[in-house]
Amino acid sequence: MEILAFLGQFVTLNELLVAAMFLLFIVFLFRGIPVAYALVGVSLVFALIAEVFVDPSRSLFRDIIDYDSTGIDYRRMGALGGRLFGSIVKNPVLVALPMFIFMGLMLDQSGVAQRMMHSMQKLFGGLRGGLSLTVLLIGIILAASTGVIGASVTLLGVMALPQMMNQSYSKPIATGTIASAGTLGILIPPSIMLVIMSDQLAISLGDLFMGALFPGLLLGVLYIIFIICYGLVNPKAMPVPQKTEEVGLEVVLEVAKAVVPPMFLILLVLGSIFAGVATPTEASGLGALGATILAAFNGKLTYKVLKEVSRSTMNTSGYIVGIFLAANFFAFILRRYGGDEIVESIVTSAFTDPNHIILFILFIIFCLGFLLDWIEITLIIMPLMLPIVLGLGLDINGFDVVRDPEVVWFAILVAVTLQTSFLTPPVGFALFYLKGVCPPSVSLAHIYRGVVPFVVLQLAGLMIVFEWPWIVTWLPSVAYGN
Amino acid sequence: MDKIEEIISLSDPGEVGRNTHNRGDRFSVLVSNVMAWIYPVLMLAIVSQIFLRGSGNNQAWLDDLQWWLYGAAVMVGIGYAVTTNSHVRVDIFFANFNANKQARIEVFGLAWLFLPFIILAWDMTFHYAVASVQANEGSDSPNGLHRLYLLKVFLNISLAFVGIAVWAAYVRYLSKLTRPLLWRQLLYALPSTMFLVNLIIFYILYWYVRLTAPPDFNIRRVTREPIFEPVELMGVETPKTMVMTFVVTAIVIQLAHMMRSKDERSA
Repeated sequence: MEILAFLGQFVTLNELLVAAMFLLFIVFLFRGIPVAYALVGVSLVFALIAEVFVDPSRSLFRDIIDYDSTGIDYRRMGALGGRLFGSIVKNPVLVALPMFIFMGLMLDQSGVAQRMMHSMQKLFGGLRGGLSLTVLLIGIILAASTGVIGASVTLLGVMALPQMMNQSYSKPIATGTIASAGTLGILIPPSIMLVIMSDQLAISLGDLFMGALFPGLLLGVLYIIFIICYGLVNPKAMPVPQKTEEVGLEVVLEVAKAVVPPMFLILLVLGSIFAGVATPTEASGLGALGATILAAFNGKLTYKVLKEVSRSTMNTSGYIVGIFLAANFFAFILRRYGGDEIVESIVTSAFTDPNHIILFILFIIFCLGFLLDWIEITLIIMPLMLPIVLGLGLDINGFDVVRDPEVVWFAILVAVTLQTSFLTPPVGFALFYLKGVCPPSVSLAHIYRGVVPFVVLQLAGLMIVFEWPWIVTWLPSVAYGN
Repeated sequence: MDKIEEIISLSDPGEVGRNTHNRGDRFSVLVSNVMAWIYPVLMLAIVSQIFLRGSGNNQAWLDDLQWWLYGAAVMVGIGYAVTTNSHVRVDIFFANFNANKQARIEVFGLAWLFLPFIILAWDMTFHYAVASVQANEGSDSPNGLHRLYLLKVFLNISLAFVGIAVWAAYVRYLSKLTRPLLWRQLLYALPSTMFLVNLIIFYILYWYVRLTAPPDFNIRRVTREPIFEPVELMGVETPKTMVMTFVVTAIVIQLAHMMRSKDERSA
């Protein structure tokens, strides 16, 4: 009681309990309890604490510490049925989630990446840094196949790294290229992270896809310029092979044959949204079918592949929706404690300038990205940040077409931040996935050194998008303007 | 090139570690394998709707069908991911724990944290589904898929499925620590067991009161009967209810302990 009275001078009991809630969650996380279980477990514990201890005895400590009753009881939980049904099952936007996962898995199996690698290598083989460029271009084109970062980094790593080593590329530049090309996928549409963001932030998925396109390409171009310059400055890092094939019309044709189908697939998905033929959800179905057809053309579509792609889709969407379900319940309990307002007041009272608040939020998300995957961050953190961003009254030009332009812009900033976070040593996710498929001669130190310039480029890209928001909002305004 | 194919080729998630699976795990994999075919079907449903609408034959029921299929499949997917142990975790420390400690953490996460929530969600969606069936709920759209209550009932069933998958996975990890006799299963999952015991008592009483009630009794008022006060997890009475449930649970576990067969006793 004395302790409570002492603390009561500074904080309310709600603030204490909300802090304890996050603390317990972090403890569970570090013990290695799956995120979904930890979220619902913490929520149940604090629902019980409220119902059994704190709420009934609030009159005892009324005079010493402020407390707003949560009003949690078993019957109130009845809202859970409707919440689960409304937010998870009856959610037409989220239909895109398993479909894009399906499309990505199918694309990985379709062999298009290997074909592109094989042919583009011939085209760029004679150029300095040709292999790096090949990896980057494949990363950009195949960004669609990703969203689960591990998958794309692994794919690019096993395909390209042995060849880069054969051509005695310096290990840092080789691994840096692969890691950064692999993470582009979570930004460049169609990305499943954007699907979840659009649901959590209540903005149009089409706007987000269109908004992410230019920033994604901007980063890709920055990477390419960097590779070319690096090759000029430091030719030893990316030697040209001794014997190169003649680049004739035949090679160009081969490249075209390898690149056009996946390009066509991406255009099909984005183009059908852009032209208004299909909603983004429906475009995901088109994309899934397109990837299946591509696989069939390359002779890779067997019963076994279809079966395993379906089952893996089940597995991946299962664990994503698991966190969805858990985060929904967590938010329900947190809100009962007034946790959303507490978080909001902490963030907004730290700074006065709206730009600083945005940068502060991005910094927090950057740090969280070391620990958590984008799934947890978008599902737990983004809903808490939404009212803050809306409350800042930012003046972002939506060209009178884009609804909530500041939220779209903010979502893209978060996407770029997360991507940077996954690349940043010492604990970026992408680096570890890459290490997993590296030959033993490549050490983690090589990878760390390799990604540093790319992290700098990412930060530059982030600053550009921050300074000039129209890079994000212009394309959606054109796409939906007429 | 072959080596690349090998690394990126998928493996069937349900077949990994098959030899450690128990019957519950196999049941979960079997159901999920069948339900996984929903995704190709969903893909075709979406594409046909695009073409039908483009040619002026918009089918409103196909719009509904899309999220029906998606919703049914992903709910089952939650259970599948439990069985395949794919739920995302932070493993920087976890990966270095020894096998025993890892199994203990799995048991705690599944039976103490996740399963009580699944039981809670099951109970809540049960009432939700019953209300929907009673109202004969349909679609928002006049030409949509009616009988929405079917999907709500399925939501409830899928949570029961997730519960089975969680229990099976829990027993699988428990068997790494000790021989999973029934009483141990019940004891090491104490919060879930207590919750279940409470629910079972509640529903037995509910049906007893309802079936023995006089014919003019309003069934909506069943739970207002005084007999429910001690068993309902509500407000100020909850501590008493929990103590009572604890006692009953202890008796149940003791019974399970006494019912061990001879060869279990010798173990």
